[in-house]
Amino acid sequence: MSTERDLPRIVQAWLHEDAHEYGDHVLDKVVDLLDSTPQRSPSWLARTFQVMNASFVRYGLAAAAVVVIAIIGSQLIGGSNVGGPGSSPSVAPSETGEPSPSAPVSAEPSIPADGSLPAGSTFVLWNAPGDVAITIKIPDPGWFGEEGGGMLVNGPNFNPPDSVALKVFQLPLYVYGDPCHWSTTTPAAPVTTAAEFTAALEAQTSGDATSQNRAWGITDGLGWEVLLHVPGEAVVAACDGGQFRSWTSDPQQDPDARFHQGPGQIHDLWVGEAQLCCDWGGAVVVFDVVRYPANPDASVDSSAIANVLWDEILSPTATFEKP
Amino acid sequence: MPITVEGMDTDLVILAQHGDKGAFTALAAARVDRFIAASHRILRDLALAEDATQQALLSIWRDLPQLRDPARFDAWSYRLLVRACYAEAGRARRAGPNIHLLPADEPMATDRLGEVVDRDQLERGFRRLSIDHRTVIVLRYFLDLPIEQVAETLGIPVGTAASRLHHAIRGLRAALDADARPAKQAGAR
Repeated sequence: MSTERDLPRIVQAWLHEDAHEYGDHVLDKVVDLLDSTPQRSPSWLARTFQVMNASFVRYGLAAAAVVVIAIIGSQLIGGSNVGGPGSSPSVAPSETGEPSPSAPVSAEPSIPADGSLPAGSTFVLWNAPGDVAITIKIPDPGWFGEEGGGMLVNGPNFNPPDSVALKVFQLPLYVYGDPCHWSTTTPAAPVTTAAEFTAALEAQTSGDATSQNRAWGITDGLGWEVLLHVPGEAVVAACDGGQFRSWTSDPQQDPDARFHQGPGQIHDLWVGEAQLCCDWGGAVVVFDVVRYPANPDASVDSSAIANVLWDEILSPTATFEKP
Repeated sequence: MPITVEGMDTDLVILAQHGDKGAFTALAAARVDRFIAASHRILRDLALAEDATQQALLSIWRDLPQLRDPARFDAWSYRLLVRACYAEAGRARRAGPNIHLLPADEPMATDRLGEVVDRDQLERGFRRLSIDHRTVIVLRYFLDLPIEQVAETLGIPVGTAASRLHHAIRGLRAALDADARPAKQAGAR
């Protein structure tokens, strides 16, 4: 008899059943087409890369003007309760008084063919089925979207020092007591409010999170901005599993399924909820703007990008589509 | 640990990078069955899988000179295969019914998987996942790639790959639960 924890094993066995597809006829077709399929020059990639870099420099902060045009929230029955032992977390109720929607996510995540996002295209940023999804209009070239909508990056790869990325999470989240020694400091229950999330991050040992209340955009309400720095590679390498993990969505799941942060990164977290500033369909949303320390040659002002992103999210032109 | 090829395969990659069709054919012949099997499991349609494999192999041939490290051939070729699968899925979606994401966070009875999960249930549940989630599951549990190699193949950070796999399994669990619900309700009447 199977159990819930056995699902990966069950899937693995099922996928390996009847695995005897044969591709001789496909190979024959491919071989026939080789003569009419010229190979690309090895220098093609290098030239393109140089053009891309020039593009980044040229657009710089202009590319940062990513316009967030819509927030599409989707809360499922009972909210995003990923379930912890003895806990029954739920998201904050919507101030609209509308019943919690039970429909699946109304917009599928974007899947750019090569990750590059043309000007004028839209990209749906999200973290998990049922979570809030953000539809973002891309006004300038130079932005890349991770397949599946997990991350928006100002380049084809996320590397120091110039990369900036935007991710989105949604409470409840389990905030580790110590991000370096996360394996033994998992809390029994998740945080469910912006204030709890902020306080838990600030209380982390071996972390340096600091927070401040900020007035947010089109409303007079307050939100939280939390700044935290991930230690360098040498420190992170000595952490549990060589990883620095500030939080997880579900400590009961596959050990691979935990969010962790790269050495040297700076995470600028923007936490909003209906009671404080704005209605995300009742959800408490965490925008995670990830960057690296500034360097003298940086072509991108990542701090400014963070501010622009947030300003655009709450700009008067933004529309909020309730799920 | 990156996906690498060694010895003779590396030599074949280098020869194929310089236009040697025989070397490329040898490389492709060693991989075509596995490519079709993987893409069949991602796309759930053999004809689409064969088209994706053909397109991937042609892309590999076309772009091979750009591969800087021949030892990374397999990781790179899997990435092109995944890309071809996405393209085929997109064509199929435009031509047919949409595949919708499941409400994976829906509360579920945790004991439902305690019941027997048969092949048909898995097939139905798997088909209801997004292609992102099917792909990450196939890479991890069919090709048996460690999560670091899954991330490399998808071109995403390791943490993101792990998160995606987590949500994929959670989505499948929700799909199985939803699939079991009508039968359970019918049985209760």
